[in-house]
Amino acid sequence: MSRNQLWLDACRNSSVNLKSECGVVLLDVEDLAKDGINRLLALLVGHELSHLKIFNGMELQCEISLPEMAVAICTFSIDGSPPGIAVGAGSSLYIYKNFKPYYKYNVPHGGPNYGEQAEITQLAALSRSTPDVSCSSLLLVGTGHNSLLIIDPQTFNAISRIELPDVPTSIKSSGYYDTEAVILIGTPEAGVFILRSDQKPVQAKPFLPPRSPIVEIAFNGTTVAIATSDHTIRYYTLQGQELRKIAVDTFILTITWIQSTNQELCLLAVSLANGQVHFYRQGILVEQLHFKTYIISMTFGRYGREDGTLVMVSKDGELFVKILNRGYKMAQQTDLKSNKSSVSICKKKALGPAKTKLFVDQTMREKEDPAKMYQLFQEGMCRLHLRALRDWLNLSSSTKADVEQFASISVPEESRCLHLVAKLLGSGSRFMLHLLLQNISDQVIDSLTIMLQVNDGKLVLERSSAKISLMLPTAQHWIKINVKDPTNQGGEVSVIVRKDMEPDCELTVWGSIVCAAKINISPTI
Amino acid sequence: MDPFYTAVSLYRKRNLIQCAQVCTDILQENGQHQAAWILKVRALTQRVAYDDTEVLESLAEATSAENRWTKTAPNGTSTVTSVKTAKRDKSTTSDNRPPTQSRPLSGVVRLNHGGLGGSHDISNSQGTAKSRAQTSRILSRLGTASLSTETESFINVARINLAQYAALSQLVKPLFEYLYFVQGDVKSALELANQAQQSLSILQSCSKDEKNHFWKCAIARCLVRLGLVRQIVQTTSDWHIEMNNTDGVLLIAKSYLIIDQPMAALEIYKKGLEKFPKDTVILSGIARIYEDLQKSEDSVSTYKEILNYDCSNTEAVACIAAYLFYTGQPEWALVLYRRLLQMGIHTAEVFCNIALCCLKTQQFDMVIPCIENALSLAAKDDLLAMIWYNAGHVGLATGDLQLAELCWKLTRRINAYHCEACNNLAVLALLDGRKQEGKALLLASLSLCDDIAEAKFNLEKLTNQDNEPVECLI
Repeated sequence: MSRNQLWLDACRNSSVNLKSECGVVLLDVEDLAKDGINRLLALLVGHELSHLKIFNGMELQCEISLPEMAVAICTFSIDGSPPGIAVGAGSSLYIYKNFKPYYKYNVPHGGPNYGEQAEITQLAALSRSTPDVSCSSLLLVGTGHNSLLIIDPQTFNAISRIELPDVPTSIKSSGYYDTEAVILIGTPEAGVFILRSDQKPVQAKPFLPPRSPIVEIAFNGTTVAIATSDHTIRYYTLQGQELRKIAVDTFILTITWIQSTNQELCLLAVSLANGQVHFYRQGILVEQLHFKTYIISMTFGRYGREDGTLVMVSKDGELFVKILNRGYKMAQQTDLKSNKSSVSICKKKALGPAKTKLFVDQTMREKEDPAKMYQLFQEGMCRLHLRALRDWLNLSSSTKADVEQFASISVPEESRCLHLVAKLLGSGSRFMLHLLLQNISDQVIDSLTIMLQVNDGKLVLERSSAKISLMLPTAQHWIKINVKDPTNQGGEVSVIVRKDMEPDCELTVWGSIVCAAKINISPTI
Repeated sequence: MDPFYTAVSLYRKRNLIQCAQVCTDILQENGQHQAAWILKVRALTQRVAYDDTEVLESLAEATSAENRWTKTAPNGTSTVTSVKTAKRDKSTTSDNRPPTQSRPLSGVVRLNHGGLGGSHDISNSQGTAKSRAQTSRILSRLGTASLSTETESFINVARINLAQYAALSQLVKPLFEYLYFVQGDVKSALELANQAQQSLSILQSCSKDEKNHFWKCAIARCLVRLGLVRQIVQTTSDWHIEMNNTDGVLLIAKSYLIIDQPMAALEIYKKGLEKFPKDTVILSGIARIYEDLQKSEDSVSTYKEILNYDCSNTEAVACIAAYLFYTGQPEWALVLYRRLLQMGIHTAEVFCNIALCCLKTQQFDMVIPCIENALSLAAKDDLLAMIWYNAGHVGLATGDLQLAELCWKLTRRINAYHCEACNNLAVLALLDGRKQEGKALLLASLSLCDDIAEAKFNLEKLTNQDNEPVECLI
């Protein structure tokens, strides 16, 4: 075939009739006989009778009926024996081994009403520790009493019980329980919660706030893909940061991660209500498959002896098996969608330059004992305050005149410290009065007010007062005031520089005169 | 023991005053003992001699107008105008915050005597006439101080027949150095040098040996000291390259710097580098010129080269650290300043800089102890004022405006001419709503220092709006 195809058609079988009463088929693949050939488990959910069909290749190997409505299925591994199947139905967990019923486990009482038994809502399996240590796994059982139970399938002891704000409807996990495992729990109304087994005490922390109803959560260990009923799929990191958003045309039925064994390929398969199955790589559509009816259930894994198999069950009960093309070249990153309906939100750019390794190493020191560091800092700040005040007092007492307080400066001294020069510019009915005030002392003079008053004549001053709050030694202050003489009769303006005793008081002004000047404006012809 | 032998051994052990005393005793007995005379002269000189190739300032040089050759220099060729243009360029970006505020342009306060440069982030080392006057006073004071230790005047310059001494080759060099360093009588020293050179040229007409260069170097020294730099610069011979040590190169380069010709000085330094490769003194001269010309990357790369050859060169470490601090890598600056501490330089400036670096790299527990160390080590008022200024910034960084105000008020109290503190107090006053006080402080700040870009910016903002100021720069 010349075309670079992602999926190779393995087989399709319409005679298997995987049609369930409720329209829900749950799939899983596992090597149940420990012979290297993975079987397909299909749980057909019925109201009163559920069927569990196990396929070897395209043949039905065995069929098990359950007398009640089974809602969840998962396979779990046990050290030293073939993997077992756990089916959750009602409030019991049916364990099957070697294709035969093995044990029925009743979920312990829970919740406020002790008389009731908890109903199982979801199941998942989590490996206990790394494969070289042990192969056994734990069962994660979600109950209708808003709790998650972690059960050891060998002894059927509940290792822990985690309370949740809402009923867990989907449980996805990754990692190893003994070292570090991440469990994501989706609830219909309270959003998604995350559980990490390395944090003691083990408790569920909110991961995502509730939004539009979640259809499915897919988790591949690093990225969480959440499909919601508003035709979008969102990718999130484990920290809860939204990576990208994919918008699709119609309802999403199911999603699953597709990862090749050498981790090169990482796709998200999305089954849509129009019979299409889309495959997205980092938010970009790379492949589409079309079916006559929509696919209600998908699972990816090793099936038979083939790695990389995608098993799909359609609404009509047909089984489709596709194999991932190992020679598929992912060179082109072309977006198959012509309209830009897939939006990818990039991570926010880091603010400022990246920190060097040394900076990061130095900040690690802060992480070791932050409380002590800040305590030392606060103590230091107090000491600094004290020292500053002490030095301030020392300085204040050592200088003879306190330059910051105005009350101690006597008036006669000030009149020798200020130099006022008044210049009248202009000829005609408009003049400009330039006042130059200079501090010729070596002290700071503050809270001065310059007042202007028309003694004689009809002159119009632009401003009649100006405040100068601070004059440093040898500082000069220029003030320009426009004077208008509309009648051209001339007049007299007196300028008084005054030191305020209460500089901040706006209503009354009282102070002592420091210097004054009189400007005579002669009448213009 | 032979008294002369005693004197020589005392000289070797650097007991210079005792040595001089013993020599005086010998001369009292035997007035013609030339060796004792020479030894005494040498001993007195050694007490007060300094490396005059390092000292850049002297009162005569600073005030001599004829030393400026061109008033308007092309871009990048003059240190004086480069300083002004740099500040002017930065202040025209009125919308954005100017990149470097009125910070010092150098990482090191270059003290006279070429000694250990302690460094602090804010210094007024560039272009304050005050410091120049101070250094020359120190130099002249040295002359008078040494004389005061002598109860009788040892060499009365007026009575010496310089020409006679010039002919005596063994005596003339110590005498020159005595006149130059101890008595500070540069004119007589110059005359002596000239005469010595003349007499030497009469004796050996064409041979170019080291002695010729010694007198040329000596004459150059005197001319630089006297401020008559033109004469040195106008000589075209390369005697400074032919010398065995770098003194000549440094002196000529220094004279070019005095007349504000940094590019020519750079050329001289580079030629000197060819003769004396890996010489850290020449390299530091080059780095200083780059710094004056605002070419900080070149300056830093030169300093790094110096560190290759001499890893404990304090000036290089300090300048690189300051550059790293201001270009956003405070963690490396901290490493370098700690290295300075390890080298034993426990000065207030270093501690202050470490405190600022710690603040920037979030090592909060180290900030205040370093500031306290700096405060206790600060001897001079100016330095104390600067440390309080920086402490104010620490307060500002933690949001403690009261502490910041207190520290800046202290700064102003200790050093009334601190324009940055005025500006910052103005901003705090404006934040508080005390508009008049803020405006007055801004005007005060501007009057203290013309170039301060922040104060100009703030004042502009203030006068443009009659309402509350929107942004002000600290």
